[in-house]
Amino acid sequence: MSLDLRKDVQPEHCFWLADGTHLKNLQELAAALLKMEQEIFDHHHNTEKNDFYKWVKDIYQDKNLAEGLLHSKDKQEMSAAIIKRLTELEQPVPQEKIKARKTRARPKQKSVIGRPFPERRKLAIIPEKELGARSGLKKEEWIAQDRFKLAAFLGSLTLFILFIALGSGAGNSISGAAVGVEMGSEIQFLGLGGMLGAVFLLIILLKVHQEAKQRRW
Amino acid sequence: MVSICFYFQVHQPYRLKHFQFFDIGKGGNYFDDEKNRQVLLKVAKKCYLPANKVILGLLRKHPEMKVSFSFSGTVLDQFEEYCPEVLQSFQEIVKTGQVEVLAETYYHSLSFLYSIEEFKRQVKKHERKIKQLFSVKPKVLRNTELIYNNELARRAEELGYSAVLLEGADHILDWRSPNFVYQPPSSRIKMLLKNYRLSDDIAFRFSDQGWKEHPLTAEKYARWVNQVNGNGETVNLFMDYETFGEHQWESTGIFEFMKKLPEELLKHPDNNFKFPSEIACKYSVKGELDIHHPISWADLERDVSAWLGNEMQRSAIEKLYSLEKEILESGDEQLLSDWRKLQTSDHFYYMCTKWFSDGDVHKYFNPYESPYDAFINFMNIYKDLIYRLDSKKEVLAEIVQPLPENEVRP
Repeated sequence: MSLDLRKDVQPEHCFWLADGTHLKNLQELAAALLKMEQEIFDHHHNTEKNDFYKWVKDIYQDKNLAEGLLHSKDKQEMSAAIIKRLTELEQPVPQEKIKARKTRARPKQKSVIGRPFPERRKLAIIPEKELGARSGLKKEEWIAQDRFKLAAFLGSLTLFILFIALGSGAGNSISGAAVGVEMGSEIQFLGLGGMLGAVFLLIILLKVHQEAKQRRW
Repeated sequence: MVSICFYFQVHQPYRLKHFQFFDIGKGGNYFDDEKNRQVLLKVAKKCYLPANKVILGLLRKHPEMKVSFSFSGTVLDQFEEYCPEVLQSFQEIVKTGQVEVLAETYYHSLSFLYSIEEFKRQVKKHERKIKQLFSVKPKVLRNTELIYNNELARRAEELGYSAVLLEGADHILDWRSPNFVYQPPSSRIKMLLKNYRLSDDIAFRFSDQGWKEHPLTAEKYARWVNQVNGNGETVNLFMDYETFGEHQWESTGIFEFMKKLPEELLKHPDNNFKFPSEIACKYSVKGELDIHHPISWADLERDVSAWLGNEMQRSAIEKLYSLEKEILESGDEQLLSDWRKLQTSDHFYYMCTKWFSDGDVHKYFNPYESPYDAFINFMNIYKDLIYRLDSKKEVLAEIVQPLPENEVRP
């Protein structure tokens, strides 16, 4: 069972520093770290071990703080990590705010057009269920549409690659349209099928682009 | 409430005599009797006798004071041989009832790391010796040089001990304090950890004028111990008994410090003195320590590298233990005694090539010019031991050889 980070530990769980100092809580550790001699710090924090991380993990069982201490490089970083975590606990969310959060409706998402790229990306990971709701479609319809478009896209792409391969294999195929690409001294033709595949692919890409705009990706 | 637990180690090895290559095969005594006698008398005069006088006086003055001792079998044998009055003074101290005697390997050997059977035999032999000399049965085990791992705990439990002493090394404790009782995994034996900072303040730093706390007074030291109150239950002060008068000379004020220390410690109403067995019994286990690799109380590394850190040391000890079966089968008491005296950890300590962090300590204890001299000397003796063993086997073979056919009676 985890221990309140603001509380003192039992005497047998005190952190015993290499200079003989006993630390009975995290506040004491944060303060001790700042004035700790480097030799003492290195004794507890080196390539082989991190006693501070181990203490928080074993005694307080606070994974977040333990991880923070594990990745801290020096005394200052460690002390700051502890203070930050304790400050988070010192500023609890007021009860009325919690109630308001529970009852308040989620505000309508504003348009992201013109917003910088990272923000758009952030919005793109809105759950599929929510997106379906916004577009006015049922979840199943939304998924079915998406599946159909994906299948069409993949089919066109396969067709495109297949006909290009056939066209190349046939060499100077007379059935090919004259869209030649010069490669050394030889002329390679793309097959008519390849052309058709490319047109399909273009149509699908345009459709997807339109859809993306509609969904505000 | 803080219980202070004093434990003093008393040990002297049988030092080897200079054994040259040309001595191999000539047999004879491997041990420098004269030197051993001189060293023992010197240490008795500087340390054992005056320190015993101080301790006896303190025990009489403070009936609540308690201390514990561990004597190696080799030092007890030398007391009997060279200086019985030291042994008598120890017996007088033990008779007060304020002393606990601990168990250890008779020959102060590293047998635990090389032969469990030999380790058990030596612990039992030591137990018998303690019973014979002091009429007490040890309840707590202290392995040679506080060498410890989970396996030792298991063996100690098998042998019936309630607790085992070990070094409160930082690398096993991480953030924990040595001032509590711990337990090894899946075992019921208790672990009493040395508070090495407070112990070494007396044992090593007491006379160091470069130390910022120098000079160390009993009042100051008691204050440090008192700081454990509320943060710990025990303060285990483990050190060589030779600290008093031998490592820290009388001129440093070590005896005066010791005379005042119990009084200062007892000024705090929550302080008391306890035997290791009492601590194991009274205090509950506060955590589990899982120790796979052997640790010890030696050097900064707190491992076994002081005795087994280089190829010379490992080679010498492996060769010595490889003779175990043949030596035991030979049935030769003298061979067995010599083989066991050669197991004393000090012989391998002299071969140590760590001249960095603990160079001064090693040099202080080393009678040889270099570790290589120590190795060559030891190996010459080892060769002679093999020669004697082979001779013994030949004699045995002759004895058990069947008579020729024509001499067999019909």
